[in-house]
Amino acid sequence: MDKGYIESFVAATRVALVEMFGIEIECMTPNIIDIESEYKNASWDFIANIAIGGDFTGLVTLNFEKSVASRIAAIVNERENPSDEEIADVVSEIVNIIAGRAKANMQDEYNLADKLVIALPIVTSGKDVVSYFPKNVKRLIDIPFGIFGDQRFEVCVAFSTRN
Amino acid sequence: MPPRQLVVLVVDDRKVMRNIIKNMLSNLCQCTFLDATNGRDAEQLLLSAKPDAVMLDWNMPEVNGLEFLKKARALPEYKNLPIIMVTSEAAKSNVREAVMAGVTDYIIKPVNEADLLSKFRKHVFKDQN
Repeated sequence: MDKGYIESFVAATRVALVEMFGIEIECMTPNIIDIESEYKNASWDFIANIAIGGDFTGLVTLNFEKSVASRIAAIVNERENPSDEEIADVVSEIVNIIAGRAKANMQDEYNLADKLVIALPIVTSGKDVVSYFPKNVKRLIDIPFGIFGDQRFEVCVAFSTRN
Repeated sequence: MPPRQLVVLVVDDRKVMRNIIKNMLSNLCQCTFLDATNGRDAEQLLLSAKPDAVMLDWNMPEVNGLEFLKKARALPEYKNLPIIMVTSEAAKSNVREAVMAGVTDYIIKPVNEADLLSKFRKHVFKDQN
């Protein structure tokens, strides 16, 4: 995956958080990480997954600690102490916007021959939840974002080209 | 005489988006809102409540927005009903597909309030001016 694709996801994340909900974020340095040894050791409370198919198959995941997801949901819903259901609703919408924008960027800017298709988001919550990536994908691009001062969330992207 | 209260069907599987759209439209006019979380429920409400306009998401479980749109346009009664798609499907190919299926207008999320109200006003109030 080239730099342009990563920028597509960074731009899409800005669109979702900054434009849609007026929440400032700061993109930090993206990393390529090993799924087994690095990603699965991470600790998240809310994960929103969305699968992409077509010229690429892969998964986009949005990873939050509950404190961050809850604060975002509180801002969006204009109400303190959102329920887990409300938090899931908001993070699901955010990953949906990110995937939709990134898909459009990749499809329109890179002239991909076939249409890319995005699936419905799936949100998982609990203690130390992780996403399960396609078996043939060993590494992913981890894009960390700073939010609410010293807190953070991550957008992880794993793709493999269709044979 | 005050204008008749519009009935607007808001179709999106996420409550947060339905609320955002309803809050924006409430700044423009008095509306009665009907909620649906997928195209199948939306179709039932379309037939039973006969809304004045539909705000429609694309990606939803069971019956998606595009399928709902095609079904609605196949019914002569709803051929000219304002159906505005509000979706994260931002690719040009998606917009073309929706236009081919008969969508009235297309808004890409994130929703800009001025854009949404402008398009709603243009299509829904056109017969009332």
